[in-house]
Amino acid sequence: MVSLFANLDSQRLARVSGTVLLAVREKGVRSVALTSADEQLDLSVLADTLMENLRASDPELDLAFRLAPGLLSTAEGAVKVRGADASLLVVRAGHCHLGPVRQATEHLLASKTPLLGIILAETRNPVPRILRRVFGVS
Amino acid sequence: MNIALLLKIVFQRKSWIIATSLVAAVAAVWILVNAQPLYVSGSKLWIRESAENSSLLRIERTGAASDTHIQVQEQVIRSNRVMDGALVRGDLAKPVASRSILSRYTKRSEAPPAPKRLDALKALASSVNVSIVNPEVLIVSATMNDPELAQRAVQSVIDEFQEVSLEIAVDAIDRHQEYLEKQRSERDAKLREQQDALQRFEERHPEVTSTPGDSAGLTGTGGGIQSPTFAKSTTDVGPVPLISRQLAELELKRNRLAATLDPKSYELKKLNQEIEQGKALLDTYLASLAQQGKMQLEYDTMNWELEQRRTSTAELLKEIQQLDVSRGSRIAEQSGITVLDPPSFDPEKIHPKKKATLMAALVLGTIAGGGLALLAHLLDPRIRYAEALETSLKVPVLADLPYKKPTRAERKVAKAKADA
Repeated sequence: MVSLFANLDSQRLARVSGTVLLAVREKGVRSVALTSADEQLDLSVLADTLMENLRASDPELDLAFRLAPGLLSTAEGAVKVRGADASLLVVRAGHCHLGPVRQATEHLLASKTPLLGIILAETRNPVPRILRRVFGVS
Repeated sequence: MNIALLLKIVFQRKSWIIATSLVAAVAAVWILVNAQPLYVSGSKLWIRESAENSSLLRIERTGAASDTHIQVQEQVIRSNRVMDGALVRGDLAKPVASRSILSRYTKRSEAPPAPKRLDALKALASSVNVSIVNPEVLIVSATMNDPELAQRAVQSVIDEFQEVSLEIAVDAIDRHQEYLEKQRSERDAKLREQQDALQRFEERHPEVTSTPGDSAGLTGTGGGIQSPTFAKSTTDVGPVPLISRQLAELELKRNRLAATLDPKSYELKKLNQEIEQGKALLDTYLASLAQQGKMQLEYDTMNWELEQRRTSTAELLKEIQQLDVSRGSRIAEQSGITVLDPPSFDPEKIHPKKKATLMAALVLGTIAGGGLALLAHLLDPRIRYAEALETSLKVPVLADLPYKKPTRAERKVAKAKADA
């Protein structure tokens, strides 16, 4: 298992937390399935960190994260996703190919579980910081 | 594709771009090291058209593009005749040693084997350039790997061109002279023929041609030469008027006697007989006079023709003499080439340009590297950036969580959590 989320960027994580919180409040979501096309991906750290962030925002929040790695390869993953109120697809940058991710997205969009969005993990920005500042890009 | 993604692609594959630029730079250096240096020499010529000296043949010259004369001159310079002559004149058929940087440092500057004459001719023709400045001025230039050689090539081409132009002019004048000489010999032959014919005529008809004075008695032309058109009638001169007058007197006498005498009288019969005899004599004289007149006319015509031939032959001779006298000036006039600027000697090479070549190689290498990087990105199926993912899937990317290499302590905590 590969754990990617040992040291998450707090700013970006807050953005993800904010989106999840918005969905929870608007649509009455109580459970979110964290899923990925990659079976080997350990999503527990991400789930814990997200939960911590959400609890910090709203201590009385009634929400549970369900980890469902290997959406396309295992039946368990698909079942877990179906049981949740919403889903978040986690993609590992530089490793996942577009084909499987597309397939997973289509699968999620076709299911009754609404797809909140994609979290792109382990991204590397090769542009030097100074140039990023000059061009105003992240 | 936005600027952020483009920058990411470029920096993601920066090693490709750097490698391509380096390869291009190395290639440029290799080219520079192996390239033959090129030096140029040029000369400006002023070419006048000989016909322009004549006001009647003066041509309104508007532009070099439509001017046949200057274009012909250009083609003469480019002709094999001139190039071949220049090869010999400038000793340009010899093989030229390499002068590249590499050959200089590796001491491999010995001359290659001598090229074939045709190859040397082609090489010279390709290195010599002729550009028309205006209808009367053109520039001859040569590009070679030695400034002295380039200068020699231009000088040889110009010298050969002048010589060929001179030969063309001399040839034209020679052909003119030859034509005039031929005309002269033809006219001389005809003149002699005419003189012989006249002599034969004079021998056959001495009564007509004995003296010019006699002919005046018959023809009344004064013995001078004149056109047959103006020759007078030959029937109003000579013994004819005397006989006519006597005949008229006899007829008057007969008419007077006829009024008084019997028509059968002896005196009237005798008078009539005399009149008849006189008329017969007059007819004979008249017939004789017509024959002489014809002969005189023929003689005058022959004389006139002879004189005409003499005059035209004299004119032709005068023209030939004038041609001989003005031959030199006419040749100079026909060729009409003036060297305005002698072949230049420029030690500054025009090729290769080091800075420009290297800069071009670097720029082209960078562009090619960028292209390769873009192609590699398009062919790579892996997801790397949020921008590409959003474009492809139309699903919002909530966040991209950047990779951060965990510290040793973080790795330990993560491992402990995983173990637990």
